[in-house]
Amino acid sequence: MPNTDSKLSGLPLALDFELMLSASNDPSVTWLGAELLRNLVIASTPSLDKPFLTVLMRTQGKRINALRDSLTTLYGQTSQDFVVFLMEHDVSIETDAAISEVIDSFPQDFTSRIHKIPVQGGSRARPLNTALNMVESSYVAALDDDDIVFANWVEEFKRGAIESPGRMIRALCAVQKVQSEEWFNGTRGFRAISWPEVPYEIEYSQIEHLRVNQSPFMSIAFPTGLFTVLGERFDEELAVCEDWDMILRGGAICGVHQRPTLTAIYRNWVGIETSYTQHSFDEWRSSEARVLRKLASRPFLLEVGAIEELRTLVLHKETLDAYGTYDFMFRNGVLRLPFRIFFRAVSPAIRLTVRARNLLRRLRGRKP
Amino acid sequence: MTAENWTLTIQTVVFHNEFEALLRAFKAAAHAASRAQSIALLSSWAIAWGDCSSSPTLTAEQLTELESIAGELGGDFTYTFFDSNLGSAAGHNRLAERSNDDFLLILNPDAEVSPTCIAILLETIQPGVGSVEARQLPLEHPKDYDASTLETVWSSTACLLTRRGTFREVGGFDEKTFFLYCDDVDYSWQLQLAGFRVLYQPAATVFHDKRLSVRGEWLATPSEEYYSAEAALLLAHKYSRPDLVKSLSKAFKSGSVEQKEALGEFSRRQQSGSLVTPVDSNHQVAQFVEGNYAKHRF
Repeated sequence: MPNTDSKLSGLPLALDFELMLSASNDPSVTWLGAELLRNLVIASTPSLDKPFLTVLMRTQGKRINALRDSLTTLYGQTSQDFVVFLMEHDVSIETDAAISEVIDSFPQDFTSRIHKIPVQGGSRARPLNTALNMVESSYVAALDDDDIVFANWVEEFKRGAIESPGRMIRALCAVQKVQSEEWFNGTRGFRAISWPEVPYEIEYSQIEHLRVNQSPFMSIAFPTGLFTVLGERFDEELAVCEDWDMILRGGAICGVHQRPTLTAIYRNWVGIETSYTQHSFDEWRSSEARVLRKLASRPFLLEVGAIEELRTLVLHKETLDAYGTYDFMFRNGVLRLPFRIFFRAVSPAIRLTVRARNLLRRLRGRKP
Repeated sequence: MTAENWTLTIQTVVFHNEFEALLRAFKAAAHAASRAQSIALLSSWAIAWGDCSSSPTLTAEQLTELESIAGELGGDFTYTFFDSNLGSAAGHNRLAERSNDDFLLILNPDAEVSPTCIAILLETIQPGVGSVEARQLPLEHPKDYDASTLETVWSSTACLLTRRGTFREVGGFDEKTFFLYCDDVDYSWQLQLAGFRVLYQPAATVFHDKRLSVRGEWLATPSEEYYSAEAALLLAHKYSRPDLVKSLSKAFKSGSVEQKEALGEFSRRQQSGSLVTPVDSNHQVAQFVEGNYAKHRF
């Protein structure tokens, strides 16, 4: 797929590596070594002779109408410089036929870029790793078969990749509640029941991501070199959190380029089983523990600015330890004013209560 | 009339749109119409663009390219440069006047129908149905609808199928009153006053290129804010809600610049006696719910 996006034609497609390496204060240069970094960037730089993006779409074919929506939003992208690897995970022949029917409804210049790949067994990471062995594009992004994207999802990733080749690109994602309903032809349909809201940090913070994932899978595009040059793979031992695990590892190695744009909607299915709800609380906790254990077992490169965040947290901890309580929050912290207002408001009531109590005691002949 | 004889005009009003976006929408519409033709829902179809821009949007080469795409897929393409910014309502009326087809698909220039959209809309528009609206992606319209009957209070014309005969019967869009917004709300209510049902078909989808801010807020341009405020006043007047006109006027008086301008235009029309005579005095069809024209799901 030639790079014919006119909106992007004014941007440079080649990178002056030597200039970048010499002028850079990029910690990755020291960490990876210039040669590895150079290869990582080369493998991930958008060029005219390969597709920019491979979209990894995992499906079990359980919600065909949602899959149709996902593909329709890809069909409407302003940049069509992508291919889709539709990873059919443990899919029956009947379901495969239903998926094919959806794909075949689109025009040939779109369907020719959708590749169905069957995958049997394994965890949620298995289809991703199967796809990674076949990727030829500059970048890789995941879009699950029930999520949808705005028209600039690919375009924004590409802008980021052209500006910062080799970095992980992060855009923003909203969450919208969706509930199931039956449609007129008896098929399994659904309706949105909330406005798309953005509960995630607008700017990428590595430290905040250590606490909890702030980047739904489809909000990230990974440089292909992360997989082809550095050999990273999704952790198939994880029942869940495979995306968070790769975002933390990839972000540390490649750095993150933030796009100031909302480009996707994560559908939060209400009242039905999803890949999110079918895993137990224990599985979530154990996966989280494994991700953090792996991070703790090897050196970890902090992004620029992370030291300040860490130091602030350590100072907070020191204060907390010194008081042993949350008292410091009321003395000098953010809760001081609301705390004082609250006590000013309730103090008349307290005084009245005490006077009433004293009066009652006097009436009973007891000394106040 | 049998399914084999049905004919369709897909009409779009263009106004300074990028050709690339128009081309994507055009190809999607042609593909979906061609599919409906291949399963014998349509005998013929045409795409008609009316251009309200200050100069023609299409070059001769682009016009030829679009004619060629439509021709290869079994359809026709007509392009009319209006040489005047007629607005959405009047632009669609002009295009509908030139159509001889059974159905009209009113389509926004930034809307790409999904491959099955037109076929599903055609299957849904049974006798007694005035219009059928497709579900928009990625931002689903929040108004409520009945999942079993598909009935809703009003339909957006981002992607709306209606019969040409019905369109003519109710007088098309009220171009005298509405320029840009609420012509679709009004059309839906006119259909219902004439006894037709207005449907929302979630199985038919259209990708409408709308964006949100990074915090998920709606991004309204000043002109959108102006025409939205103007249309709100005009709709409240037309559907016999002087109480709403009064409360909106009060709010707009201390509102944004655009809202003040819209109020000024409404007052000017009021004083010149150019407002239409109010209808639906018994409030049979019109709904004004918390600033919206239907109960919203969210």
